[in-house]
Amino acid sequence: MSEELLVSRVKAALDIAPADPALRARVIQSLPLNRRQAGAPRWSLAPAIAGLLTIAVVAGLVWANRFETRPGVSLPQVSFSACQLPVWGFGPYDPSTASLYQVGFLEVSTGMFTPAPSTIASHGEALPVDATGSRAISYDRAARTWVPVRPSWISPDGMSYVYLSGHVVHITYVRSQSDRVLLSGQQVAILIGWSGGLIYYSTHQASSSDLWALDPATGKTNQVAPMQPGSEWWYAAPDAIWGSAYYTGKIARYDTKTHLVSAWALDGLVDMIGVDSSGNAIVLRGDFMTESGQVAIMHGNGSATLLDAAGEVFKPTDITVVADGERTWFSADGQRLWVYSADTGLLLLDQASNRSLPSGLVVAGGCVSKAEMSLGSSAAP
Amino acid sequence: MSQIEAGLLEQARSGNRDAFDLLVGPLIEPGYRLAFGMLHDREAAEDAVQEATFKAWTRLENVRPGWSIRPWFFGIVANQCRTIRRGRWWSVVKIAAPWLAMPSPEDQIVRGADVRRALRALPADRLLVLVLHYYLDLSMEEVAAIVGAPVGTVKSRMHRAFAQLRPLVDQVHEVMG
Repeated sequence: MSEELLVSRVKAALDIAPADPALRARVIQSLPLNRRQAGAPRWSLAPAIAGLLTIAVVAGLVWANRFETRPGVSLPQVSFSACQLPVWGFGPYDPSTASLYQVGFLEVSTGMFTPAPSTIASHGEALPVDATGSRAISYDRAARTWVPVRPSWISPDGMSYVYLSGHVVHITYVRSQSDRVLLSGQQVAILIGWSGGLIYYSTHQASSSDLWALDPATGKTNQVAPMQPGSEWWYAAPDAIWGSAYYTGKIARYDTKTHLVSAWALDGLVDMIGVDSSGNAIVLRGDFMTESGQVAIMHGNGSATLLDAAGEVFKPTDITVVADGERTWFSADGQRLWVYSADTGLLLLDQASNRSLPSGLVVAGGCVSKAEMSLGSSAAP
Repeated sequence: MSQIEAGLLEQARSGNRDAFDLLVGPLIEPGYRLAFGMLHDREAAEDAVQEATFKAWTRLENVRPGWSIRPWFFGIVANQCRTIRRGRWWSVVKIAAPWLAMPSPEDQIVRGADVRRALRALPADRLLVLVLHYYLDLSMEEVAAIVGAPVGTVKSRMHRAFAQLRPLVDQVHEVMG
């Protein structure tokens, strides 16, 4: 490639975020009038500014909460530089709460971890466990509280979550902590999560499984995909439910709009591990025997973006995937965190330099802002 | 420094914010572009420019006779970006992560995501000279004044930046055919 072409591509690549036309005025207006005393006293303004910001955010949230009965909450994506990432892991045992878990926020720009006070109900289990057998704690951003389930079990408005106890589906309201049975009498095996206001789950017969939709408002259930041998439904996306067919190298997609099931294949496919915010399936290619894996985002049947070409990053076990707008977070082996976006590629958040983190770290939700974090829980009874 | 610049500088030093706006205000937009080229993050770039402008406002006495405001201000922005980059604790993994069976690599290339990934892998000193010369269209001499190095050093950094950048971008070019 000629230097000229390379330069033109560099220019084009950087010309994607023109300056805000109001930036100059904003910057100049922010300067203190008395420039000679500007250095030191500027810090004294920080608490006042923080206070004003908090008041503004509280006012905004109070105003926004007037509409909390709407079916879904669309919270703005927090920028990478301002991200406080909800995470959880094993912390020092706290006898007062009998909790082994530590939850908190990881400031992505600095690597600083801020523990968050939390008592997480475990529904009678020694550990919060989701239907796949994995431990799960999520940060419910809309309610600003921690819940003992995976993110897909949190309702679209963030004010309740579902969970499975035995084969019975429960719903818990985060404000009141009241809990009721939503579905019983069916052998629910996998509680998949919410999509389009419905709750999806599957039942098993021998090695076969099917897919059901439950309307939480009416309690009505509807089988949307019949029993299929060797298959399992796993993940809820905004417009689809994804599953995998063991040993066939295929994944299954149930379209919640058209109600059609299609099978997608990818060379070397091992299994599904999650979905991104656009509803694309995130899959693992590789070999369980050699414990090497490559993570790919599938864009269509047979086509995918491979995040880790060399296959050295991920092992095909214990990968937690959290969709966060245009970003997708990964935590694996309780040791490492990655974030992927089409723009940045795959970034490793290096924990080696950060001893303050709880061990066995898992991502618990998408980024929140520092202002949201400092507001604490809105879910108190 | 022109007589007009010198006059504005004098007034700004005495605390006239309007004079400072006339002097430094036109540099805020290119300063933002410089910061975005270094940081690839809109919010971080705005923060860098804001902080650099504040420093410029409080340190006008540091401008020596004969200096031009532009390289002085861009030097502050560049330093601010270096500080922000140093503060980052995450790193880029698998820069060359390509695609297995991409449906539309054209999309990636049109949006320049591949080039930005490659740029982020450059050391700060190489990225800075590249952004200043090719993105802000500054002369080699002005770039040298901003980075505080001889022109020969700037050219050497530029050469190394291209040498490092080319294979990463060529890889994508080959995929495109």
